[in-house]
Amino acid sequence: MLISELTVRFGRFTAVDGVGLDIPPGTVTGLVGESGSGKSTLARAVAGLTPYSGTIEGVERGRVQMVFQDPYSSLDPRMRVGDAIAEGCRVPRDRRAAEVARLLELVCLPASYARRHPRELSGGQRQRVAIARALAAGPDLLIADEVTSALDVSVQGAVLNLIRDLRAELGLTMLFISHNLAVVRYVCDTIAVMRHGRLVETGPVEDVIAAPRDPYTRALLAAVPSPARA
Amino acid sequence: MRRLLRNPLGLAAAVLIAVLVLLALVGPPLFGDQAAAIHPDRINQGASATDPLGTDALGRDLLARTVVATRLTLGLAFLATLIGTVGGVLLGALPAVLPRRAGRLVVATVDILVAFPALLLAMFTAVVTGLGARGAVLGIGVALAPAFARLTHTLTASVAGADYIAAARMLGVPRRRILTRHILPNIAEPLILNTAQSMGAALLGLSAMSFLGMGVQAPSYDWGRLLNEAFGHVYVTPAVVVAPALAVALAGLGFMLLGDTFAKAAAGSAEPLGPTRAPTVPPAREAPDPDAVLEVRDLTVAFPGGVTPVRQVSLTVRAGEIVGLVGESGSGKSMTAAAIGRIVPHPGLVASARSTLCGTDLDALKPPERRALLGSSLAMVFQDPTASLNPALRVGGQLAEVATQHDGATRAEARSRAVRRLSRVHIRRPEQVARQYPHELSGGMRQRAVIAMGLMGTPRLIIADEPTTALDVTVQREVLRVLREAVDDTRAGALFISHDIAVVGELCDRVSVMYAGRVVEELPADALHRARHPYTRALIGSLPGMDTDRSRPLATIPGRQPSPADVHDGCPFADRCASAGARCSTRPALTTRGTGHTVACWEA
Repeated sequence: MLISELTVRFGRFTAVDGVGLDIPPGTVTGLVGESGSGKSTLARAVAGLTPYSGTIEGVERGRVQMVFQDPYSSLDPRMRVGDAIAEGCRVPRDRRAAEVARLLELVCLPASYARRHPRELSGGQRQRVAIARALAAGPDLLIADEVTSALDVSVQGAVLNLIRDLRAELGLTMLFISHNLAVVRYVCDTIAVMRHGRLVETGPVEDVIAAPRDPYTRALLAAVPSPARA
Repeated sequence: MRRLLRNPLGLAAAVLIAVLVLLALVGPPLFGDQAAAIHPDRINQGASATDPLGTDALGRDLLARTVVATRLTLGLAFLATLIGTVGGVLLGALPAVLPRRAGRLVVATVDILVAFPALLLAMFTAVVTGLGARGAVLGIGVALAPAFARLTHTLTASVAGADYIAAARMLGVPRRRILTRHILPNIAEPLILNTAQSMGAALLGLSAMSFLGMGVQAPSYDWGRLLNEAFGHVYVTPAVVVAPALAVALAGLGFMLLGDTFAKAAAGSAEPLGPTRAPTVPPAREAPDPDAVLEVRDLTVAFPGGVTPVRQVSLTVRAGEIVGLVGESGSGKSMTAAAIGRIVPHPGLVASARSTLCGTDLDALKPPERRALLGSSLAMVFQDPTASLNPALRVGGQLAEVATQHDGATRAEARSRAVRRLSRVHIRRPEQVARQYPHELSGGMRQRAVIAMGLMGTPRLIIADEPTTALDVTVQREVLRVLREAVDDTRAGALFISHDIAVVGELCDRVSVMYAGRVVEELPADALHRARHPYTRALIGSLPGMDTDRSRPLATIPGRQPSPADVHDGCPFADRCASAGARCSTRPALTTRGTGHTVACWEA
C-alpha cells in the first residue's frame, strides 16, 4: 500500500504533515518517534478513524484493522471474548463458533476462553484477544499501536513472539508503531522515523540502525538503554 | 443484591417496596368492597374502632381506600417513569446514530428542556393533553425525560471515546448496533439506579398533581386524590389526612432510598474486610551498616484479608550510590518505597526489624520528629511530575518554599537558590522557567524541576519511583543524567524504582530484583549478565536489545505473578520456573553467591 501527501489538521494544528510511506505487501514497517510526533494520528488516519487529506492507495477502506495500546480499554467489558471476536468474522452464523476457536488458537489461547469476560484475563491475554479480533476481519493491513508498552516485560516478549509468528504464518502486512527502537528492530523490516508530524528518515531496519542519516534518528539510537553495560 | 440487603437502609427500602407491591396486588380484591361501601351514618369521622383512620365525606373507610389506591398510585408512577426513561434514553442516544448536525440539534433541545422547571413542564403538558390521569402521567413522564436524556448523552459520550468503540467501527459494525451492543450495556447501570430514584420523584409528582386536582379525577382515586378530598376537613378531623399522607411519604422515601442504595452499591463502596493484622518481625540481630544512608531489614507491609504486598524486604543504600529496585507490576516495589517514606495508604500497616535513615532509627521516633526527619532528609520523585507540582503556583516559588520552610532561608536567598538548582538540573534559562507555571513546561522539564525541588534542601536519600516511565527515550536519558549528577554532587543515596531492567542496569550501582513481594536477587548492576535467579535471567532475556538475534524468539515466562493475597509458602516463582525441582516447595532464603551478589534460589 502507498500513502502519499497524507496530512491531518486539528484546527490550526498540523499533526501529520504531508507524509508519504510505502508499505509493500507481506512486510512490517516500524514507525518510531516521540510522543506528539504524530505517529498515532497517522495510524488513526490510515485506519479511517480520523479525517485526513492526501491519498492512500492499495488498500480498500474497511480492510485496515488496528490493535490498541491499552488492552484494558480496547475490549468491551460487557462482552464475552467470543462475541467480541465474532463481531469481525465474515463467516455464516453456524460456522462462527469454529472460526472463533480457530482465531483463539492462532493467538495461543484455549478455545474455552471464548466464554470468558475480559476482566477474567490478564493484560497479555487481553492483547491476544484484541489481535484475534483484528485478524477475524482478514485485514489487508494490521496496525499495531504501541501494543506492548502497557504490558509487563515478561508478557511483552510473548506478544512480540506472537506477532512474528503470525506474520510468518499469515504473511501479514503491518504498520508497527512503537517508541522502543529495540522492539521495532526485532519485529520490523523497514523503519520510518517521525518527528513533528513529518517523516525524517525511512529505510531497511539494519541500514537505519547501522548508519542513521538523520540527527534525530541518531539521538533516538543513543538513548536506547541496554542492560549489558559492562 | 446480597450487598443491598446487608445495608440496613437498603434492607428498609427493599421491605418498604415489597410491602407496597404486595398491597397493590392484594389490596383491591381484599378491600375493594370495604373501600366502596358508603355509610351515611359515619361521615367525616376521626379514628374509631370500625374505621381506624377515619372516614371520608360519604362515610367510606379511609384506611381501606388508601390501601386500595396503592395499585393506581404505583401503576401511574410506573407508567410515568417508563415514559420518562424510554423517552429520555431515546432522546439522549439519538445523537450517537444521527448525522452530526441533526445530533447537535437534539443535544441543544435537551439542553433547553433541562433548563425548564420540571413541574412547570409537567403542568403545561397535563393542561395541553387534558385533565385527568392520562394527562398527569404524560406530564410527569415528559418532565422526567430531559434529565434522563442529558444523563444518557453524557454517559454515551464518555463510552463513545473508548478504544473498543473504535475497534467496532473499524470492523464495520453499523452505528445502530454499536449503540445497542456496546454503548447501552455499558451505561445501563447508572441509568437503572437513576430509574429507581425517578420512580420516587414520579410518585411524588403525580400525588402533587392529583392533590391539586390536575391528576386523577373522581370516582377514581389515588393517594393524591384522597388527600385532595380529605383536605377540606383537616381542621375539623385531622386524622383524615394521615393515611394517604403517610402512604405518599413512605413510598417516596422507599424509592429514593432504593436508588441511593443502588448508587452506593454501584460505586463499589468496599466492604470492610476487618482490621489489618499487624505484621510481626523479629528484631535484627546483625550490627547496623555504618555507611548506610538507608537501611531496612525485613520490611513488611500488610493489608486486611492477608494481603501482604511487601514481605521481609531488606535494602541498604549507601552515600553516593544508586540502588535499583526492579520488578513487574504487582511485585511490591512501589509499596516498598511508600513504606520507607511512611506513606503507605490506610489501612496498611508497616513493620520492620530495622529502618534507619542516616543512622536514626525511624521506628524509635515520635511521629512529628519522624516527619521532620523525613521532610528534611528524604526527597521523593514520582512517575507523574504534575502530582508533585501545584499547578496554580510558579515553579520558582514552589522550589523556594522548600528552603524557607525547612532551612529558614530568606525569600531572596531561597529564590536565588531555586534558580541555581534549576540550572543544575540542566534547565536552560532558569530565571525565566522559575517565573513560569508547571503547565508551561514539557514533561521532561517538569520532572527535572521536581528533582530540583528535591535538591533544595540537603537530601540524604532520593527515592525515585518510575520517574521516567511516562517520558520519551531521549528525554528519559536527560532525566537519568540529572539524577546521576545529583547523587554524585550531593553524595546522597538514591533508590531508583523501575520495571525496566535495561534502564536500571545502565543507571544504578546495585540492583535488587523483586518478585511477589520479596527480593529474589541482589547484585552489582555491571554483573547483570551474570544474574543467577531464573526470574532475573528471564526478565533480561525477554527484553529485546539492539543486538538481539532477530531470527530467534524472545525468552518468555509462562503464567503470571501471584497476587499479594495468595503467595504460597514455597518459592513464589516455582510455578513458572523451568528449573524448579522438589526442593522448591520450601522457600529458599537469600544466600551469598559472590561479592555483593545474593540469590534466593535452590537451583541457581
